[in-house]
Amino acid sequence: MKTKLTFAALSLAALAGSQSAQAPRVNFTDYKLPNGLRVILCVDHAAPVIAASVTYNVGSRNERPGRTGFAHLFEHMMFQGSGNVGKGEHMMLIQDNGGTLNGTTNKDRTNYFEALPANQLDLALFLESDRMKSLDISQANLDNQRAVVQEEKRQSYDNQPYGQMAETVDGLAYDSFSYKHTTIGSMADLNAATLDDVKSFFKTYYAPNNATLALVGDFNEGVKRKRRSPNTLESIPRQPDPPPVELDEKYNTGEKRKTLTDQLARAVRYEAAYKTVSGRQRRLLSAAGSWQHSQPRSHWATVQSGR
Amino acid sequence: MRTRVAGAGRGPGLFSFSATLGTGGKPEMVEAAFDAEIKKIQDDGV
Repeated sequence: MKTKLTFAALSLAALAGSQSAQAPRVNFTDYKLPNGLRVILCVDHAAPVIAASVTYNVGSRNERPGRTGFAHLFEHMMFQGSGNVGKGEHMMLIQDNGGTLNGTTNKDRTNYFEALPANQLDLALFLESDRMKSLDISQANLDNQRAVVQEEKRQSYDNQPYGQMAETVDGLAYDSFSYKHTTIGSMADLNAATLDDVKSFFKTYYAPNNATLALVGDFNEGVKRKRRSPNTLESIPRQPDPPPVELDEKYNTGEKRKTLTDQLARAVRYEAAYKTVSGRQRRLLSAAGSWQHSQPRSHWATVQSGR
Repeated sequence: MRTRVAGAGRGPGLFSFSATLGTGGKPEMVEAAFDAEIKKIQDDGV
């Protein structure tokens, strides 16, 4: 029996609702250190905990042809040790002090975060600054994490029902390379990644002037600003600004359809996607209440899969 | 049926619909249903 997975990717026609829910007000301080690191502080004494997040302005959109999946691979490298932190110690130090941690990569950014008891704020800042300053980049770490990422790809995409859906949608919907490929990348490109690629990526994108530190929770903002931050992240020198990324997309004038066969799928799935405006533009349009009066669809694509 | 808006980021995002069809379901039926909902939003707003 043939089971079909059907998918359609459309482009343009901003269709989402324009009403934005009344968001709770969050008071925060937003400033930049002399080395370009953006710092956002949000004091909340509701519980004796803190959360720190460092977001780097780099994602799979910054990858070049032949090196897809590299931003995510690099995220894994960031947990392999640094100048003063041994292999595996980052996680151990956080978890042994009652915290949690993780990192994520998408098309636009890569972030790292930890939540800890409030008295471990210095630990969080030390760990983030140490790996921004002195990541342990070695062939052994690269080979090890390459294998981990490839297994993640097999598990989460290659051997999942409908696992090729996102790759197909993005490939049809976008024109420019930046968004056209998936964050997980291809096996061939992951295999092609070299140690020089890692070093270059680190130097180009993992700089304070390409990052934002967000600190939330039970701490004294005055102490953070005047004493602790300069001793850690502020000491890291800025780097030349990363090269700009081409994100312009053509206006689509017709449908694209694709049908694919998925041996793992047991039912037909259909997907339609419209290319819309950027997140920033969307907020502006939403505020203007004009989103629902957008242009008609112009592209359509179908993916069909069976077993 | 699932609706999502992906890409709150710098470049164009995707506004997408997906549906997994039950036994006997035809893609054309889903496509027609999507079209009707889209038309409704375009005509009447959200």
